[in-house]
Amino acid sequence: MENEIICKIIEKFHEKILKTHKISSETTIFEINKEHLSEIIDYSYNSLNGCFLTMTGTDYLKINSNFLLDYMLGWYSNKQIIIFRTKIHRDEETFTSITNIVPCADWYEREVKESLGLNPLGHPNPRKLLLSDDWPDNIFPLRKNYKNEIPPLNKEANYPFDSPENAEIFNIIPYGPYHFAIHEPIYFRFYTEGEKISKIDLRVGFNYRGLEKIAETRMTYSTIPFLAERICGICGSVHAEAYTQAVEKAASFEAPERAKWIRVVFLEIERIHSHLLWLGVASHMVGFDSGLMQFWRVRDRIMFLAEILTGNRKLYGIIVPGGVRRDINNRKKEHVLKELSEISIEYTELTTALLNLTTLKTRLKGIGFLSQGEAKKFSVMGPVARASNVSIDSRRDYTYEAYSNLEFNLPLRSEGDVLARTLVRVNEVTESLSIIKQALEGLPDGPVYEPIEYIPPDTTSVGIVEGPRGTDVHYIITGENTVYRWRVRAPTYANLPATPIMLKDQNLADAPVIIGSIDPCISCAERFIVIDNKNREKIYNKKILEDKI
Amino acid sequence: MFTTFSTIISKAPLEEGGIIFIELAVLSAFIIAFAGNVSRNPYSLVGGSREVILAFLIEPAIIASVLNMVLLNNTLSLEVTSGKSSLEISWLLGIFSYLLCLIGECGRVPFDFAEAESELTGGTMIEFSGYQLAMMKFSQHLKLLALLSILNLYLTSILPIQISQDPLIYVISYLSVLILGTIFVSLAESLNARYRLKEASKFYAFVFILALTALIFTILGIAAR
Repeated sequence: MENEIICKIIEKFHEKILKTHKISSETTIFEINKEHLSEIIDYSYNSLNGCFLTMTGTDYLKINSNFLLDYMLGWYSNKQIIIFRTKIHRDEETFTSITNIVPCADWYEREVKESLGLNPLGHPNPRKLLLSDDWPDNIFPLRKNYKNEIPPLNKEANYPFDSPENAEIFNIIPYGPYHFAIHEPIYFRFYTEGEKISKIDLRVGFNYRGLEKIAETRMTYSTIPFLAERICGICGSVHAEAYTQAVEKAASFEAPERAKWIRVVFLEIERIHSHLLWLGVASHMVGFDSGLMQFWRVRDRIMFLAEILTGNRKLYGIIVPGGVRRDINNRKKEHVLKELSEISIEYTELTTALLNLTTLKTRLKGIGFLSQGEAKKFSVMGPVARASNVSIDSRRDYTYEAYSNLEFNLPLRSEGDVLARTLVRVNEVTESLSIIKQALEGLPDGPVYEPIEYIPPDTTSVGIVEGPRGTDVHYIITGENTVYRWRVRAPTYANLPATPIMLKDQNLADAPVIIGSIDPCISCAERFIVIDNKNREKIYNKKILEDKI
Repeated sequence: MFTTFSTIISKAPLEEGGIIFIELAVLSAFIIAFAGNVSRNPYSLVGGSREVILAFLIEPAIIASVLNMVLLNNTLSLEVTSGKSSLEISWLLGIFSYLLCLIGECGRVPFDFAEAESELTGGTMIEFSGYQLAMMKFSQHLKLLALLSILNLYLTSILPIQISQDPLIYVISYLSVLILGTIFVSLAESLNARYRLKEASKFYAFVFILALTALIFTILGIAAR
């Protein structure tokens, strides 16, 4: 029986949908003409309450003289993902922007513009997103004919910041690109009246690493998981899992049952580690350093568990297409279960004591508000969405690996403030501890790895994983022995555009913890450019610096 | 800055020491505010303005609590007082409100607004480095020492150790006050998140009422005698 969402879209637009492909049990591709794109997505997103998952542009010129534009929407409660695919002919290089009807498409369309040279007509904010200011206007790094030798121009360029009317009455407070409260390069420009933040402009694009391009040009299916893991220093396994899931789906491969359960263990260890790290950082951001020390003390025990199981405290290198690289023997299993029960008691005592401190609660309550409507409008993910009473979790909704065999609750809050986001994460740690315990106790016998025989080329596939910060989406088009196109959509990419709403009219003192409340991971969000500075790099030694001073 | 502070206070005519202390305590806030304003650094500017606001919040309460002690001891002198007091409610309230003022006066968490490391990356301090930064930091600790020393003077006026006049006991009592006072400030720092200015104003409004109540009790007590 066809899914309700698919039926409704086909019923309304049956003449405008050119082709339909079902690429997995939950994912369907609708091919449509670009003239009908806005209309169909408007209906699917706004009337059918879709969640915007990602948008990908692909240089498909060598294959059919077209660029591919894939808009991916998800319906968590209906367990459905639809990719709306349209083709742009090589001579046209334009498409109609949907940002006015789907605000969260803003960044994706700007990224397509600068990486592939496809111009979104009518885009309300066509500023640069990820490329540097001096990047040449006619060079597009994700086109297949892009050459790596092109150096940056190193010319002066001014970024057109969005300033308010009567800008002279405001005090401009720069937050970033390097700021004590923001641990990765990102720039917020606050226009303040006294301590009140009246307007916010946000700029990203300081982190150029080129991971997708490197994968497409230099790596193979089996080596990419290790690169994927290095997208993020905190949720590396989530990226490896999402990539692996996409490859296994493309190959119609089912990983061994024991491997599925082991993968769950690592995904949940990573979630606990990430949330404890965040709780510590959030405490520090409001000047509560005792909280930082205590939460990180427990976090260290979790990292020790990872070390017992994989040999590494971070970057486990465990999840690969075909299964997992290490088994968990009985001795390790017993050790981890014993540690978990101790950590569980310690964690409960700690959260009870610390989160009942009045000053901490006062600092977190009622700030950085994001309503349920706004959360849906911006398609925010993970704890940010769940703290605004949006019940989405891909572990429950798009069940993958062994999650369908495990019992867990989904912590939800309706307040939509920073305290709600904190409490959602606090409760998620408790659930994750329980999930790991269930997964280890129920670990089935059998192999942990089986090689994948064949991955058919030109196959579109999607990996979707619930990371600590929200849904991580990996989109691939397969090629010969490697991916033809790999698009990583980390949850921060979805959550970050909503921060200006959370910061509006807030106190300057609350800005760090409000920004921190989405648990931003900038290295996840920015990842696609290769700049080969060979023979052009300049090392500043002490003498040069002293001369400059 | 506070090296100067301590030098001045040590050479001040002891009969007017209380007044000089209050003046210099206020002055320190304005020095931080000036330092913040001259740099034109936005974090410094915000830090400086916060320091001034904090001074306006704390000074009424600290003046009331110091005035209370002055009335209780019947002198403005910072020297060992000759007045006599007993453990009465106004004395306890006065000491308690003075201790609460002390945290904010020294710019410690939860009232480290001017520096606010995670918000303003150091505030006014951001413009200082090397020995200048070291002196700024040193002066903050010195300020805590100075304020606790003043507290000690008032405490010794009532505790039996003053009566003994034994230098050794006096040194022990002085060090005890310093240690206990530092523990109090450190505990407040460890068990609290940084307040916003709004909450700080409510807090110091409460402290001011506390100090004022103590003062009223003291005046009523004096009138009754």
